[in-house]
Amino acid sequence: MWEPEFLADGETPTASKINTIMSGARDYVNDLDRYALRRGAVNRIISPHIIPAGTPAVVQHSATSAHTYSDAVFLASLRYNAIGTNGGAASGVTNTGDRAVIGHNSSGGAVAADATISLNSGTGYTVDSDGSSASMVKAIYCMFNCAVINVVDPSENVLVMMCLQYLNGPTWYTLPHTERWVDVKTRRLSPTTSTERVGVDVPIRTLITEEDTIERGSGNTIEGVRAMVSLEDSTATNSVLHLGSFRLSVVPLLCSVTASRS
Amino acid sequence: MPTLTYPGYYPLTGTASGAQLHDLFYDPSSPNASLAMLNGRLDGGNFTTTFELEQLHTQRGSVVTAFGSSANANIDYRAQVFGGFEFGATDPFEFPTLAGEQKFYIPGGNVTAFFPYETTILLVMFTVYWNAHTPDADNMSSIFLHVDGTVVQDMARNVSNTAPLTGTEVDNYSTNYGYKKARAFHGHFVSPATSPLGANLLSGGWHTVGLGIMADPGVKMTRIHARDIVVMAFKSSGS
Repeated sequence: MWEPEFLADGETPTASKINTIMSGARDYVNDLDRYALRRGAVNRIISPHIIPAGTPAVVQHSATSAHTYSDAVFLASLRYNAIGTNGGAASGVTNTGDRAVIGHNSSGGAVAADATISLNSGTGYTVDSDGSSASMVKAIYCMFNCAVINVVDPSENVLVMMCLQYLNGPTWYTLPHTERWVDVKTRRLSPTTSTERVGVDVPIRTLITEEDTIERGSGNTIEGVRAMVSLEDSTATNSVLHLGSFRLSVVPLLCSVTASRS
Repeated sequence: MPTLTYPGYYPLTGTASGAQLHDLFYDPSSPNASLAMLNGRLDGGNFTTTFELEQLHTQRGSVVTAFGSSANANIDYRAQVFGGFEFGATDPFEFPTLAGEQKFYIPGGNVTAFFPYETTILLVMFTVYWNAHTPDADNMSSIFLHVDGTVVQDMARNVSNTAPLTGTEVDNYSTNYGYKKARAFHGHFVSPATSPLGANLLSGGWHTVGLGIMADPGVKMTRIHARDIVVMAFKSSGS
């Protein structure tokens, strides 16, 4: 603790003596450290968080009735082509690619929203392995659930596929490791009654990192995430898929936060 | 925190006059050049602009906290306990409204915890495995997620008859146990956005998040097997 010096009573206040006293005061203040500050003296409001403002982003549909998918949505064959095929039908587009966005049903209008999420108003987040990008987002955690009610198909040999895709530039890239398959037929009590409700849920959880974008050969800015559905129908008959409730949640994760000046 | 450095002052020369002494302490024409600085001009500018928040700047549990629960003891619910709930027979794809009906919270699938702060984002992940025995496919047993009793509509899943494997099925599946159509439901929930909670924040205090069950009275028996739930509460930026 610094204690001030004083001139003795009657002593001449020469410049030299005053300078000495003031130099001591200055040095003390310059040595001020955090312990000498009153608690909160230099505080400003900082909100620590690990999720960027405006997120997580969620799109969901509560099914009071099924939404259906038939030839009008997929290619005419309804046929799933190959693992990891990019693109597919978006809302309002028919017969493109081998998969369609969930919510883009055949009849139209029955589903409140497509399972599509735009991140950061379309600008997206750049996922860097070292978190060096301005967005500081290192990974994007995605969670998806969807109820498969049944597949009405005379051939019976149908598999339902669901997967997640991310948007970079003009292309929606499939994350191959998120492709999930459901064999509906073996889940029915009655193998001959294709209208029987099976109601199985398809859960997908994944973390999109820079490594995923390298594997897909895309840029590492994730501008959107969406959930897709397709059918593998070996006999290419008139399959009709019925889906129920779904929820897609996307949570960007910050690796560090820069304090903002206020 | 960076080192604090204050401007110097002008040392006096010769014999100090009263005016010089006054300006030494406070020079109205150049306050920063006088000892008026000692009055404290410390402010946010003393922080470096590249200052980054790291783990050491936060207290444990001050930003996010988590709770969990699990159980694997089977629980049977008999038909008599589910009064009043009827699935429609005309629409085979109908899902229950889950409103105003008899429902039960599942022990081991619920978390009642004290949230130490107002929560901006609630993240829930859960898994439940269950089956049911019913006389026809329209009699459903439904599992749903709730937050303080408010049902998350899109996190409800139904199951009808889950018959034990019999006859050739046993041979085909090479097993003599298990239930055909028994259901594993690994669901999730994130708020806010489109949720029954809307854009509202969960206040600090006690909350219950978990799984519930309801069934058509026609369901003879429905059985909960293993279940677990994890709840993460992220602090609001404003509290």
